Amino acid sequence: MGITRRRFLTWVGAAAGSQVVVAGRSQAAGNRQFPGFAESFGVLHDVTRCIGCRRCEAACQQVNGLPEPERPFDDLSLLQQQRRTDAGTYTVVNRFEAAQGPVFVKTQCNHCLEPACASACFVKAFQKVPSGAVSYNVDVCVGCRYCMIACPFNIPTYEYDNPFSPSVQKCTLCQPRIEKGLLPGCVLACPKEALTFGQRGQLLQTARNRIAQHPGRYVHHIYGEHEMGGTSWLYISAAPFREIGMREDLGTMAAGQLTAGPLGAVPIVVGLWPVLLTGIWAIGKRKDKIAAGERRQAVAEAEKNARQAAEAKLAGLREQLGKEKEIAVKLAVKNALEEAARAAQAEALPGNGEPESKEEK
Amino acid sequence: MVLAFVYFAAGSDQMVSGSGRPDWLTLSISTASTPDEMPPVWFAHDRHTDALTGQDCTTCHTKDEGRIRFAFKQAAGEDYHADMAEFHDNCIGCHAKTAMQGEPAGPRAGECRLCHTPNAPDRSAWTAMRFDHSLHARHETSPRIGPTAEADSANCSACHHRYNADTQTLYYEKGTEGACQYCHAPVAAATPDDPARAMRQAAHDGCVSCHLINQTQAAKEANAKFGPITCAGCHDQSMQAQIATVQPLPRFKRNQPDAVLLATRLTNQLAASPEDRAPVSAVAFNHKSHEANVESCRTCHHASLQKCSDCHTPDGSREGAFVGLGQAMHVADRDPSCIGCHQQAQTDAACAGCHSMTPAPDFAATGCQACHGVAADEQTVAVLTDPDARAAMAAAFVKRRGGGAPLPPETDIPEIVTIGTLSDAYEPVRLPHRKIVRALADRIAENTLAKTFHPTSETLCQGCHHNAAALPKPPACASCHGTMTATPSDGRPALLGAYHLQCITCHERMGIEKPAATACTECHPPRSSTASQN
Repeated sequence: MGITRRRFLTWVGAAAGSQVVVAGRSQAAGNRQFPGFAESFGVLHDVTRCIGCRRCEAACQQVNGLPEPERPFDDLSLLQQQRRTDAGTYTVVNRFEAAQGPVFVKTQCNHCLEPACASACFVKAFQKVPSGAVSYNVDVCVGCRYCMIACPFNIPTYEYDNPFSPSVQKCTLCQPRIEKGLLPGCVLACPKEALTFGQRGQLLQTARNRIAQHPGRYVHHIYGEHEMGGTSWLYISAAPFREIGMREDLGTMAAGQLTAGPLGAVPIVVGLWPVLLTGIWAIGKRKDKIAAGERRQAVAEAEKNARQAAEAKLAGLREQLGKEKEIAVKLAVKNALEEAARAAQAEALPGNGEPESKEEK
Repeated sequence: MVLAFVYFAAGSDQMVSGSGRPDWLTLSISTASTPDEMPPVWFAHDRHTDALTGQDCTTCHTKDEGRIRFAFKQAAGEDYHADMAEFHDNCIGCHAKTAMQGEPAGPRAGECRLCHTPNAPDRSAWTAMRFDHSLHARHETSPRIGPTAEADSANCSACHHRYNADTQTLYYEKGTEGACQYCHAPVAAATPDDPARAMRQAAHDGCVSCHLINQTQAAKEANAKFGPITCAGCHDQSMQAQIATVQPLPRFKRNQPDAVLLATRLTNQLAASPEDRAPVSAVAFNHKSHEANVESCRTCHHASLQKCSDCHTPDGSREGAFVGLGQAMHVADRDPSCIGCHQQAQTDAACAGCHSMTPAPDFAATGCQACHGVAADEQTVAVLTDPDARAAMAAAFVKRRGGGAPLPPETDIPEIVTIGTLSDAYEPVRLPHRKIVRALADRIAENTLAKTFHPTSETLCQGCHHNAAALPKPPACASCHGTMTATPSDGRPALLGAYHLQCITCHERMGIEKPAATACTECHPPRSSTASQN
């Protein structure tokens, strides 16, 4: 008799339940909130100021040594189609038709405070560095492209046309330039100062001031202040962000936090389950063993008892047989004696044939 | 079959513009809707008017002293079931009769849901009717209307009336005319003391009845005009656009002042304790000019034609909803306030070029003196108690003001300003400075508001040369705007950004399409050696 299916499921269910409780509690107790590196840099994009001149794109190509585009940067007809970043383009400006007229929005890596790409990368090729940039280490990258799937802004791109050493490509926030005290290429090139570089905290203040000083000009929202746990690039706009191609369904929780629970449970599952299952198996096994021993013992005892009972019965029978034999012998003796007595009487009384027969006997 | 008729009929309505109808009404005889009750009937009024051509309004409505009563004639409004039966009998009866004659007709018995639908069968294109200054002028001078009271020499008494609660009658009193909405609220809360009907009902009874009477009279004369009598006539946008506007607009004839000396706080202060606080200078208010620049009296006199300070006392009162005089005049984001309306005016294309750049509210540019220009001196205090002298003083101040300051002499305005500080990829920009100044000045030449609030010849210069004192030779842009650095700034743009923000934003706001914001070389001549790179 092994472990029953019902008992197995009960055990497993209880174990899973306890893990959920434990995992939930540890996450809540952690209350992990990353406000970003202090004094990290970012860029404020005032969408109302952008005129779609693509000078930022040109500057980006220049400072990063990216390949020359097929069509020159002063070809603004390109704005008639929606473009996205690719392996040779870290930033693009797109045109949207809003109620206020045409709106131009620059797109590039938003340099999240807690990047989804970094949380998805299992070799830590992506890292949020204290300067504000989300850096990429090509040396450890295995090319799984999980980062591309994880990014809610569709930013990381892949060098599909590089068969031997392809790498993931995205805006670097001009980290090498920042380290030298220079401005990012796009910020420096923007003729309308639609891009403002500075410490993120100060940029938030600048954004709030602009919204307050020009009532009615801006939507009362700084995109990137809380989106996906906050980003180093911030945006203010006159048109609602959903109308200018920016997702408003992302929530305020960093991607890492969204996956922390399930991923945090992995070590527990990997470490605990073998022990647990082995335990369940061992307990079941031991029970079987004990049961088998008990069964053997009971059988032996029963056999013994049966044997004893049989012997007792046999002895009784034997005794009874003996007694019956004795009785029969006594009866036969008695009968013989009576016969002898009757024969003796008949001999004494002639005329009676009987004593003769007895004599013959 | 019936559905086909509905669409056919909708397509045949010539007066209805675009999609949707302006004439959807809901007919409901119950005030409390219960779940087991049918939804109200969506009724296209003008479609029925068209279908009943040749018959007059009395087919459906009753006449009361020659005026149409705007409710369905059979519905007494007393008994629910009786009213329901009346509606059903008359509507369905008429539809059935029309169908019997072989003409297209509306839903009949059994087709309940064709009338009782939860949503309107078509979009409503209803647009509120605005009885603006121009339309008022047309009614005021119409020879067809005529006064109804002896005291009236114009058409005023035909519409304007007062209510005598004792005799429960309407009467006309000259000089008390005001907007209909002062008494007729959007939703009437009619009490025995104040039986004024809802604005909607009052307007239909007053306007449409009068138009109908004129229509009857006009029928006797060829080509005579009368006001709209259908829903679309007033509530369709394209029909509204066809109403001719009166130019120039005559002033209202209600003895309103030309200029008013607004000195409530000063008067109160003098009466109380003049030593406590510095006296507030009075405002000479140009009533005449404001009349011409607002839609109607109600733009400012939103609740009555009384003085502002009657309700909005300096410290607030129950009548003024505790909105004090200072708030009523200065709150920037409220429409009836002076500042609110003036800031709204700054969004006009002629003004927005400069004013969109300055943060709101923009008191600093003009200061209090622009309005509060009548000093609280002995001369002013002396006239406070004398209405005539007050009015004369206000008129004198108003006359002095608003002429606008002339531009500085042409020789003081540089003709071309060469901007070459940042020249790198392009040649220096040759800014047609004098042309720009003149263009700015020309656009606001007729704007009395601008003339009043641009008090000196240098005020206009401050659109670009902002945040510096209004001087004939303002400091260079680079005095304040430097180069962009990675260190935190106080929010002011760097020189490159400052130039482009100023020029391009101004062009955008003023609707100047050329040169386009991205046409770099139209302002910056390309530099031959580097032009190919950019």
